[in-house]
Amino acid sequence: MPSSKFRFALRSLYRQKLYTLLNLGGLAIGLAVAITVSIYLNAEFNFDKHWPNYENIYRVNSSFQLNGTEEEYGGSGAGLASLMKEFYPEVEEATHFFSFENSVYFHSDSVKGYENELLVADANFFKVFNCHFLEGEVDSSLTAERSIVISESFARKYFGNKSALGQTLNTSNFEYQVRGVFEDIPDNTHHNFNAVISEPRVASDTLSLAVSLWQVSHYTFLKVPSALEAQNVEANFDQFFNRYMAGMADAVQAEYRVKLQQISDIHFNTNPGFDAIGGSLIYVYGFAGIGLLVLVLAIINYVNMATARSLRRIREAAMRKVLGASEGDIQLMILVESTILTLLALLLAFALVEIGTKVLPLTNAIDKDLQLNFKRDAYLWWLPLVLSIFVGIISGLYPALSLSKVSPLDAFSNKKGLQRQNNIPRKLLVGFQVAVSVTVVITAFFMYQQMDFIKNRNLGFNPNDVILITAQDTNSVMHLQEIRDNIAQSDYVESVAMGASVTGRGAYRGIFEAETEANKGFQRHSLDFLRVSRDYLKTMQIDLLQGRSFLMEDEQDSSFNYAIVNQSLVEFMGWEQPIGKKLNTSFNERGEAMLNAVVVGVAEDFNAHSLHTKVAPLVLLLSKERSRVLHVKVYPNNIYVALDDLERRWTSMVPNAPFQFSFLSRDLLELYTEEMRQSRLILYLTIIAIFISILGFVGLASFTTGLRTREIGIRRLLGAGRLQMVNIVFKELLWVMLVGVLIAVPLAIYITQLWLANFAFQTEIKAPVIVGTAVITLLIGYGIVALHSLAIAKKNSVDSWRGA
Amino acid sequence: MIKLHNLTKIYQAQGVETRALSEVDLRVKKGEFVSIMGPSGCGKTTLLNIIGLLDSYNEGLFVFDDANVSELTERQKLKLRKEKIGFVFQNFNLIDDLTVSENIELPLHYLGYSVQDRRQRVLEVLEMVGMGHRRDFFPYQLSGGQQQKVAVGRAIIAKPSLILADEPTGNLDSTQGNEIMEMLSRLNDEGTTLIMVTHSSHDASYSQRIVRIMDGQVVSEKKVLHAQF
Repeated sequence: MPSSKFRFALRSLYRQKLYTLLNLGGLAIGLAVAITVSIYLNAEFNFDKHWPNYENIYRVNSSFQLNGTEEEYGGSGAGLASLMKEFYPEVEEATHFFSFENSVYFHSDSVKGYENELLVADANFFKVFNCHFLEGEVDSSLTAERSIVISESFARKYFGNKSALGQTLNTSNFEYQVRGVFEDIPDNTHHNFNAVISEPRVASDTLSLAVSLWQVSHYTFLKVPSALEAQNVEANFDQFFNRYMAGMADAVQAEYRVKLQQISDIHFNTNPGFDAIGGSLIYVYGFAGIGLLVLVLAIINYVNMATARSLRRIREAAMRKVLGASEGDIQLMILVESTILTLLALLLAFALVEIGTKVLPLTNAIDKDLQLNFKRDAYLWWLPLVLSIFVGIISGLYPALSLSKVSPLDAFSNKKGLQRQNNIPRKLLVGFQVAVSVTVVITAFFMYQQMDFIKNRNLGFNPNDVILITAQDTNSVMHLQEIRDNIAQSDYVESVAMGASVTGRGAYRGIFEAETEANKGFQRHSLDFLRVSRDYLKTMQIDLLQGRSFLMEDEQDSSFNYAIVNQSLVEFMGWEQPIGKKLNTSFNERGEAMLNAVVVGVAEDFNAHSLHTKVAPLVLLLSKERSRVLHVKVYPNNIYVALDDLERRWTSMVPNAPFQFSFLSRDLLELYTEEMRQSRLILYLTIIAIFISILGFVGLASFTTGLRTREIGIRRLLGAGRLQMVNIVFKELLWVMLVGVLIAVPLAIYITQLWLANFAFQTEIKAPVIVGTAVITLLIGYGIVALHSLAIAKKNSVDSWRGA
Repeated sequence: MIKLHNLTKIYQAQGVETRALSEVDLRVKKGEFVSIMGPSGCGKTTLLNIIGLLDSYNEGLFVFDDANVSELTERQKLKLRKEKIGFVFQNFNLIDDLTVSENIELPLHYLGYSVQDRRQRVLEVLEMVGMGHRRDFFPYQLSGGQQQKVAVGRAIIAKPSLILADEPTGNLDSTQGNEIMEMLSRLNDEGTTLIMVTHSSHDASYSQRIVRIMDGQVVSEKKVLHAQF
């Protein structure tokens, strides 16, 4: 019997192609979305859980107490790892590393390219992070200087199918030897890496070690036997502090503590100071919510249409009863059939995911691997299956119960479907569906608008037409001033300035002594700072509020340092007369400030960090050395000609260094990759939600018009016009839609407000958007009804009023 | 085989009583072929439904094969129906998604036959109704006469002792109708009891007895005189 049931189910599907397409297709899309979202969520919630013994791997976060305020960083000082391993017997392994900010140019004999996600680590790195080595030895892989350990795909890119072990890889400055190849690590790794370079060996004396422990520059990871030991390390840090760090503490007048964070906790709890970009629970829950809604919509849809459809089988059910089927027989038949159908939908859904993730630019758009991987996501074996069977039973339940109660006498009558009163629960469901999709559309619109708002917000500086040229090697860094002067002469260049880092992508943090207003001496604060050259404000188009910009004479003055502060710093310090105030920083181990600067100007606030953080007090220090990045403002019309000219000038100055440029506006967008990715995903999900809702409405409309075929036929016979007929049916559905819209609007506003509360800068909730969505929803509804009623009206009216 | 005495069926719809059958007396012996005739709405089909254990009655006595039907449970009635009664309808009532042989096979599912027995029996019946060459066709691919042959096949597959036919030729042209009538009377010759509701006196001429009903009452019963060959 089961095999014949399956055959019958397939057959009836084939005979009702349109219905099958709409219904199974809708459910399959819903399931496919749910599967895709679940893959995404599974990756998000399992960050770094792929490491063997991940629960015993901890990151050492730093916490500084200064003037009663506490600041936490995801990083810590160089040297902390090895000292802690030495000091604490319970620490099994310890490593530290830092990651390259920008991409690095590599070339092997035949292949060249730029690589991201590079770490520089000590020799113990792979003892904490147990990568699976395909070539080379874990223990010796990072011991020698200029060693590089690369991922499998990295190796394949540069060496093809040859063994990479022992081969050399060149950057513009150095030659590295490949000492190991590891199996690619999953994307859901917080400190992700494609290659690890051994750190240069530096002779460390106690003094420089003492200083470096106070500077956040590396990430330190420990491996301990259990959570208990991690707590011990944190609790007994006093002894470590007294031994290694107390000396400097007096000099900088600060306290230092460590906080151990389990590796799998980092992704959603990243540190605002010094950390890789993490995930956001708000977004993740947002996706989970929308994914769930799409699924619920699809299920409601499916149940609705399956129910409506099954009522056409009253005669069949009656006939089966005449032939001796019991109620149980009929129920079983319907349930088996509907479960088979949902299982088919599931197969289709898997196919959709498989094709969708390959064909659609999904993986690209959101930069996550969403492909089906039953090995990685073991739950995919059972969860969708259970869900489909559940949907099958739910969708079969009402038909099974109602059809099994059909009287065998109905076999003799000519009734083809149920009467109209059975329509109400279905209308409620579709009303709910309209409500959900209108809510999703309105909410998604404002989410998108908010993203747009964030992207286009005035940063306080103008990143447009600014070309960044980054000096990669010591030679070009040394000659950067002369290169700057040369470039400044170009006809295409409006203005040029040097900086130690890229503007808008973050600032350095340091301890400053700042002169107080009322001559009460100095206060110590931890402040953001940037190192820049003259013409910086002009190049970045940052407004000067008081005083002056840096001058050429300032750069040549070796006896003194100059600073420009932002408006927030003036307010923070309570300065009435900011010009001439003294700022000291860069303390040595005796607590003496090595850099003494005087404030010459006050600049308008601008976003030195991404818009995730508010503008903080900031010091612009005039940099005489250590500049690496040229900010070149070019005239907007001839950017490519300007680039040629810049390259020619660069090459004439430093012929051997690669000319590496980028556009500042594009670089800044990288700060919002996560947001853009998320708004794109929300857009996709919304489109699907709309699509499924339309399917649902088509189902209801066809059902309603189907029930009224006879009436439409008779009215047509009596001379009713086409429009009148559409209106008759639409009237019946209008209130369903209106109720849906009326529920949706306040709900959408509420959800939007809740979501917007997470942003400091918010977009407006505009009434036209809401009214527009409502009107469009009603119009689409009218269109669907019109198509259906007109199709019926077109048919021979004699057929319809006879009810044949 | 069937004994009806003072059988009364009343429909109630919105407070209005309609007497569909009023004190009907009818006996049908084993192996008999009885036609029930009468104008539309006279209660023919209601009578057939009651005899087929599909509908209930309000008063009177109904004995089916020595069993008093009013004393049977639903389950017993279902068992009796699927084992002893076959149905043939005016509009065939085949299931669209099943093939000819699957439609014919259907009653055996509900009787719990094994796959082997089902297959065997379906082959026999296909042969009997002459639809072997169309066994894998779907109902909509067949003519009305062919569909009705399939329906007859379905009615007889469980070897019922009684076949109830509700205007079996009503939707057929005369050639097809005659084929069906020949088939039914052949079944009767082989011993199956037949009760047929019909409008056509031609069809009724195949039977041995005609019961006329009007306004829910039996107005006449007469034997049909068969032409001698």
